[in-house]
Amino acid sequence: MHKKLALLLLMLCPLPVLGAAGDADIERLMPLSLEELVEVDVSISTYSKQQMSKAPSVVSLVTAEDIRATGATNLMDVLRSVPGVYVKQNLFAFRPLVTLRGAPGNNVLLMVNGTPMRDLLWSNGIYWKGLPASIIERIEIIRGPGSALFGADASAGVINVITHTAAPIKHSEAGLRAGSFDSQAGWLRHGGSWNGLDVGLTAELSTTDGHRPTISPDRNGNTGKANYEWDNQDLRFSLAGGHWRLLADYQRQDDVGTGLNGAGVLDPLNESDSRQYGLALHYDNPGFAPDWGLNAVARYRDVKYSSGNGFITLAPPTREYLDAAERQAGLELSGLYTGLRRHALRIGGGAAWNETYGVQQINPPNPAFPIPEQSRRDLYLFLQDVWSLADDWELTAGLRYDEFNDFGSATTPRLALVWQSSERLTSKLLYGEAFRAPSYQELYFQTASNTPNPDLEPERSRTWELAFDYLASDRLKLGLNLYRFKRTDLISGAGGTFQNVGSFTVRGLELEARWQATPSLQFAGNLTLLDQDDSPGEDVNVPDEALHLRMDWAFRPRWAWDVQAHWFGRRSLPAGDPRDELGAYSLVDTTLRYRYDRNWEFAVSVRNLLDEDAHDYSSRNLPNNLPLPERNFYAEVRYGF
Amino acid sequence: MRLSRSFPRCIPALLLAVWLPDAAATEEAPEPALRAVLFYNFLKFADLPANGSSDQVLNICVAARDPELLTAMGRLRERPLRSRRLAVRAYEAAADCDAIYVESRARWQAIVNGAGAPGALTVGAYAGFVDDGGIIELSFDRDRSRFDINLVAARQAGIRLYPQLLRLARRLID
Repeated sequence: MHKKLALLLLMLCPLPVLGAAGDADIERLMPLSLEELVEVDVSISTYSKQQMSKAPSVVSLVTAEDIRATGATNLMDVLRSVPGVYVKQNLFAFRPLVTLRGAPGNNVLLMVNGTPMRDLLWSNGIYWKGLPASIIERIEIIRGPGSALFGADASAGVINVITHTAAPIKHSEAGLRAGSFDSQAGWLRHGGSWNGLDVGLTAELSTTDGHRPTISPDRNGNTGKANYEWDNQDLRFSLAGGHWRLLADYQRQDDVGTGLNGAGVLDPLNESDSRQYGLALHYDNPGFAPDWGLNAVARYRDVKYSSGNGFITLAPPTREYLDAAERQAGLELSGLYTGLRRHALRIGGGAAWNETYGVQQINPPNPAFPIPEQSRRDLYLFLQDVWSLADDWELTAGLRYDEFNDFGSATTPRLALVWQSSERLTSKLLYGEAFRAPSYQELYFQTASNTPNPDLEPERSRTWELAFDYLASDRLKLGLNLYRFKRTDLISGAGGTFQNVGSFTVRGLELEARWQATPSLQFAGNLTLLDQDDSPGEDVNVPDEALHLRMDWAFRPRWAWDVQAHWFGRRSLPAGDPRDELGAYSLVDTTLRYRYDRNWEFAVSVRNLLDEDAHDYSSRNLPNNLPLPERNFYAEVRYGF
Repeated sequence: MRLSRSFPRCIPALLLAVWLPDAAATEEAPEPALRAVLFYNFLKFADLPANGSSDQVLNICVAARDPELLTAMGRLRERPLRSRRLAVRAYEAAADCDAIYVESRARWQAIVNGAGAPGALTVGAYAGFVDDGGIIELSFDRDRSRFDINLVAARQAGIRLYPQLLRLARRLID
């Protein structure tokens, strides 16, 4: 750890500036005519990142260009490198659970184009394994509370994935990828116009056998390989004209091998499936009326799960079957008023409605535990004012009120004071409250081990943050965040019945650096340190320390080389677990990319280059925890048009 | 179920069968650089009144704090424009400015509440700049630059804008 920290500090030392990277852009643009200039596309990269540095939150932005450079194939590959994030794999279907700042995944609100991906029954879907990288235009990650803007389940942060949609799709592309674990994928992205409307289409189809880790032994003492195969289809269509945008998506996961059941018993036979589709109609008009902008969105989403040929039960060894579905609808309207001097006032409200349906269970060992069909309704109002106190000072104050039909109400305020301390330094003092809604299971499900409690209160949290963004030179940018994140009224089922108990506090530090050493060589890195208290609320299997280093080097014209090194510290075990704590591990990934001409591009990637024998925490049911993938290889070809 | 399993394995054939038209190279640039070069082009298509600066120097004032924008604007320094060369500095007072780039409404209000910007070409980067009396409002819509022009404000400032500029404007206030 000390060597790696020293390496990071060395990287941060100011070094001689060898020439201005931005000069090339200016020189390239200067000969263009005005007509040509208005046709130039803005790359999101640096300026948006800079704007993000002024946002009244701690925000990370990952662009499609970042994703392409790193060879990431899935959203989860990208999130792994974000400060504060730890993607923890679950033994059931090798599902990725995104933890942030030491809080479990149900405190992180994941959205796609502003639509929450959570569902009542399984949080982010029982077989959900992320999103294909080819459909992603950018990812905005707000670290810190987001409930004052986005409502429930945003205590630790918000991840909003923006997909390629109509109008922004200007570069059509087709691609193929193949690699280890019998993995194959193909994708197509295309934008065009039809009857004066912009049309966008993305599609990715993929299949993999998964890494089939050897489980030795499972809960029943058997040894075998966990079957983590799955097929994925992701289709998205969008239409844009004037102030309107229509987004439609369809995703399907087939032949999802669950590998092990939730209790840690190897299940070589199960192949489950799920599908979901969504529709969203957006209206965005910044000049709706003098001093007024208007934004509205209507959403509908439908998700359906099936256990396929059945989950294996613990004892007696038989199979249980579960089909379930859920409908979700939402409507939100907000206006931005800029008629007051030095103020930008946003006021809005909405309604969200979720309902389970089509629940069918055949559960021979536990016939007394049916899953009830329920619905949840949330009515909400919010108000936010961005007040330019002075040229260099901006205060953002927000308040949101949510009224749920099942567990009551929640009021969440936020305050953010942003000071442009100098031309190079931005300082922020942030305070926010947030809440996590009790889950369906905690409110309504009777299981063999837990009794539900319909009187549960939401978990609440308060976060204080101090953040600095510093442009040390044209080429070196630094960021430092310090925070205290306290969760109260934690919901625990440790006593049998789910109850609100106790609190949990995390203090943390996130340090980020990006250095453009030469126009063709860039280094980036971030360090996360967590100080979690010893209360039972600790998410024990999240490392307290993590370090990510990245190099991007265009070492010859047409060639680009990306290397990423991820180091995760040791992870403690729950009280009473007699095993040794999980040790630290490192993963090195690299991608070499070659652009043959303006159409064709080729790349090869190696993940876990050093073939580290890494494991994620699993309960005592798997004595040796869950093995992560060994060294694996991918090759891809892209055709841009 | 089995159909869907076999379907992805046909991807190579499916995608290769797709008609792929010839490539059309699209220029792409970081926003600060594009803003700076557009600002330079606005100056090229404007006749400015003599405004206290010398015959040799055209003074550009930048009322912004964004470091990347300031860096990009700084790269316009010493560039020739007709018979003059550009001088670029942070905005302090309007007196010596031939052109002013304004980042926010707060900065524009401070300028207006002070000495104003008599005779200067004003380019603003926030929504509503031309309605607030600025001359050119530069914005980005779906990743492409757009600009609106307030001809009334231009005339009041004694500035003549060329037709090449006017015909590309999204909106003209006249």
